[in-house]
Amino acid sequence: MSAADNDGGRSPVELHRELEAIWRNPGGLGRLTVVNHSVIGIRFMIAGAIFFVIGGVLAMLIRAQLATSDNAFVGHEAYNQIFTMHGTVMMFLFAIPMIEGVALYLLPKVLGARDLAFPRLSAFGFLCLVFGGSIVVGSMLFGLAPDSGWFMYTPLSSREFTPGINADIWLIGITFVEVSAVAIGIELVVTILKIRTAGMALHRMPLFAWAMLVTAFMIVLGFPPLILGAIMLEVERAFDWPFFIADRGGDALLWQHLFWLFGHPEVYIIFLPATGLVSLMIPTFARHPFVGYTAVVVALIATGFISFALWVHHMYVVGIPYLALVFFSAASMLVAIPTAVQFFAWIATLWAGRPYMGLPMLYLFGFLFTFVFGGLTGVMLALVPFDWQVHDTHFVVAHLHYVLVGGFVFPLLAAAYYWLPLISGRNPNPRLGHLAFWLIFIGFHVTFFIMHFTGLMGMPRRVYTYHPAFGWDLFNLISSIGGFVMSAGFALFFIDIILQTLHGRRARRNPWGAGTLEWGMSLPPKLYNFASLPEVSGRDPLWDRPELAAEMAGGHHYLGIPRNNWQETLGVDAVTGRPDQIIILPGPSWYPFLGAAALLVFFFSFLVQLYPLAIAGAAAATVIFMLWGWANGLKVDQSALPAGHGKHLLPHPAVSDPPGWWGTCITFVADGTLFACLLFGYFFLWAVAPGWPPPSFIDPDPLIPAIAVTALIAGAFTAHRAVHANAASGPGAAIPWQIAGLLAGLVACGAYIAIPLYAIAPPTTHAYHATVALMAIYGAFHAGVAALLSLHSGLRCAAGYVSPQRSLDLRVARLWWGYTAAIGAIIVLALYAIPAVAT
Amino acid sequence: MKTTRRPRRLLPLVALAVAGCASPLSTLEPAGPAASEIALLWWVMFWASLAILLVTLGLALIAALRATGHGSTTRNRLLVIGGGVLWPTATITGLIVYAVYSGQHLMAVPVGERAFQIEITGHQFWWEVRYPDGPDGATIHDANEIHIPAGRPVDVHITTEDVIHSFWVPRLGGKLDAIPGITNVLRIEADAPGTYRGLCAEFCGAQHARMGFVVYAHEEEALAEELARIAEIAPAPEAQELDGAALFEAECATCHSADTASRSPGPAPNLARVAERSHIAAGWFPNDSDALRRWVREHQTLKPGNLMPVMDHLSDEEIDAVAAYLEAIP
Repeated sequence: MSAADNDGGRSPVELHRELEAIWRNPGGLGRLTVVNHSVIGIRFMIAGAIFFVIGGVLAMLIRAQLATSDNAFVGHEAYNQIFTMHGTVMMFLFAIPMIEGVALYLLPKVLGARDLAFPRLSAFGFLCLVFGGSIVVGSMLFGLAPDSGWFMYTPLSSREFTPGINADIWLIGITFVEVSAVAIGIELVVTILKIRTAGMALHRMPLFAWAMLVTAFMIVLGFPPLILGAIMLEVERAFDWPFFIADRGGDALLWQHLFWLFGHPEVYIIFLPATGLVSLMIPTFARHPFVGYTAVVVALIATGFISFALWVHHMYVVGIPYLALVFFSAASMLVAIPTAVQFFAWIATLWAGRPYMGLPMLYLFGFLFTFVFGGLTGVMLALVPFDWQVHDTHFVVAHLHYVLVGGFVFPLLAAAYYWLPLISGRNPNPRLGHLAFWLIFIGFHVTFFIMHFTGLMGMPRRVYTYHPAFGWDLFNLISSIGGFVMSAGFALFFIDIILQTLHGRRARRNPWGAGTLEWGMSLPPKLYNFASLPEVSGRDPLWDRPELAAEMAGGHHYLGIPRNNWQETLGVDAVTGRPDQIIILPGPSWYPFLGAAALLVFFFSFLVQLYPLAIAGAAAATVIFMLWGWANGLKVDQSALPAGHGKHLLPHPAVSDPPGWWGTCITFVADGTLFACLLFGYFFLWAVAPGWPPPSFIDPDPLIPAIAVTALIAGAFTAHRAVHANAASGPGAAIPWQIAGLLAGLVACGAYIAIPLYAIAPPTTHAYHATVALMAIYGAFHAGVAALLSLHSGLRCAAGYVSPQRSLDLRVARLWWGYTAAIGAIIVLALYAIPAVAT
Repeated sequence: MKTTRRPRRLLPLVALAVAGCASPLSTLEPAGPAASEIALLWWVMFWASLAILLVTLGLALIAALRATGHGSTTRNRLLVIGGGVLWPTATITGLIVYAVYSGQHLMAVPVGERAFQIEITGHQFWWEVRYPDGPDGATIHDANEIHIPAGRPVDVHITTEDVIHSFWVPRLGGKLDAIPGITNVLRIEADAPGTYRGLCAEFCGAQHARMGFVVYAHEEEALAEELARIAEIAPAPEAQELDGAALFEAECATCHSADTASRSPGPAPNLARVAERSHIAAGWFPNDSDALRRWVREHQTLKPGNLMPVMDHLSDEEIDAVAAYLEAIP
């Protein structure tokens, strides 16, 4: 069955018919099982657009309320919910999902692939977004929406000052959405590194892929701090563990550190993908290859790094020593350099080419103008003394809208017109688009330019009313008028996009004359994108070889011969782009839906405090994820299959580094970041928080930690032996080791649970005890999962999914065990050695 | 009290030209050294940014509209390196040096005995004020109004009893947060005697919008007199309005103090001087003859969500009596 039936006589029409049958998606209820990246990408974008409209309506309510002083349009209760939800919806439910949707849709197409690395994972991510987003947005219908501001500062968001469910809705709903974001982050990293077409070395990837690679890493590193913070705050609210309560050794500033450790990278997570889109569009309109490619790649990476070193610039007025602030101030301004490099690379590209003005170019100019403006006010805000004055005023509100609307929404609007023919197969008609642009552009600047001065004149953000004597009336009225003009522009834009999707003129292939691969397909694209995957040798394959599109459609390149009813795409060496495996992609599946639904039960039950049901939901999710893992792989050893161009490649279950392996590694990057943040919290509270030392420290009896560490080392050893046993004597020999691993994992899990139960005072006593308990639970969770992985891979050995050639299950279990042993040891060290030394 | 003299006329004038109208909270009408320094910094950055904006966008426009496709590689490289790296590096370096220099002497560095000390505690949604060095060395307790010397640095020791607030007098200097369990010190200074408005800059809940205060800067002798007078404000031992005193004791005193010598027992402003304050409800409503009575009757309408319980059980006569008592405190 593994031999390909290579009937070279197949006509292109037959080829497409066959591929279509293999890639067909179910209708009806089966739509819930669809995993194809084009479908999921569009679903993400539609969800993002719906949330954008909701966020926009909220913005209009804000502007209506602030249009005059002492306005009685809405009261403080409604207003505080409205502005909190506007920020929350725009940041978490519009910007991130929209970027993810664009990336999920576009990346395989620009990389010359047929789908993503983990199609089911992105389907799962979409459902998490919808479920979590619905909890957050739905709360508005009941008047229970979060009302502590979108950065949820403690102790305002703590149980004492927000006793209602409002804050819980934010913490739980947004954490659910973050599960989605991290899943997509992992998806994108692995896709960009592994799932490209032949010859697409790193240095030939479109800049959008580079931007998304940096962004995806930033998501993987940037979201865990917030997930951890949200877990801590929710545990504090639900069970009174005082992480952030100063009276009991907590510190409100810990929340701010964790939030902005996420929150500042978040800004670049939104901005960098937009620059990537711009870098795809500019060469097309300049009719010239990108100038300064390498400089921009370096700039993207530099931005990613710097963005993690400037979170404190949101905290200039909390009382941090000036010298420390100067460091963060310098880092904040430093980010202007890579941004300027990108800007001048675009100008140089235009300069080198013979530009023509399409409608997207108009929006790109809106972007350049607005964003440079926002960048300049950003440099101003990075200056500590100036920020002392304008921090938390409308100056900041103006700045952040210049950056986010300028740096994200305008490129997105340009992209919408640019790729509309790709998605819908229809050409945009520039007339309404022009009008929409001018309404949005003028409306935006009328709203937000003057708002800088409103802030300079002393108006703080987040006030629901202001005194007529303060002299802010006129400025606010102008902003409100501008806001409504801008809204009219957006309404027109949406009407235009819908009309043209339905009734536009049919577009021919590559209507803009672009050079990147996504335009090498028929419009709108098939679910399999390319009938065959090309060998590329430059950055603009369609400009390098104009006949490439026809050759791909004719099936003349890689994987142009369907076999076994498999959905296939190429896996390549991450650096050189040399093909090294055939990825067999999963078809439609119920697991994403079931997994997300189980998580919904968990999160929702937790929210309404039905804890037994929450535990049931978590258990169901665990079972579903294990079944999901069961559905992978092959039961038979594989030999190399013909892939085209005379190359023979192994299918991915038979190679040493399939996407699953990469995905596991990237997951550990996210998990490790979360753990590092947890350690940071432990030491931060110890060193900085008021209200220390705690009334009691951990019981130094070494029995529990000795059992925990011994069991973890033993478990890691069994997992290691299992890999070798399988390699030497086959899967049967690994099974006893995996049984031992299961037992070791259970013992270690029990030992870590014993720490909060027997070795410390109740976690409600003091932040110290709460943090110790949380770290012990982190250890227990990982030991428990390690036990399950031993069980799972042992069963897989018994069922025939594992062989010396197909050893991924065992190696993933070993990796998890190794990680768990490492963090388990660090936890024991931190919990037992530090108090011994420090007291 | 004298009206404010503004020593730096030039910058406010430019500000007015740009802004079109004035605000008692405008950072662009500085009335102290810190605020002036920062306002100057703003105008320097404003004009520099305008120049940068025009140059970059001009370049972009020329590139898009006039480019002929003959651009040399060298020139393009120069554009990316020069415009992208050298230019911002030079600008930023200059700016950082300037800002470090300018920020350094805005900090609350010790200036010996010279700095006037004041303690502020943020509450939802009002400001507790304490003068630790009262006339007899005793602490004076007050609320929502702050008296400081003109022409002399003031160290404001800021903390909070509940959530995070931020203390800000825009015309006198930057802001600083009030964080639970921590005391931050902010240095402000007024050049001349006058009245300066302040407000809470960090979102703190329902009535964040109406959490203001007023700063009065006095000449040294006037300040000493003022503080001495405040220190003596306490309920008269034989109060004229016995009825009111008893009612205050029964209805209000669980939270409010009516004596500048003692802190309020609950999370509520000291009312010893309430009758002579310019505003009630944390610098919001003018304190006219009826304000106090209206407040007791309808405070949840005037400032909804404030933490004072509804006093519906009091009759109009009883409210009158309490108000008269507070007005009568010497």
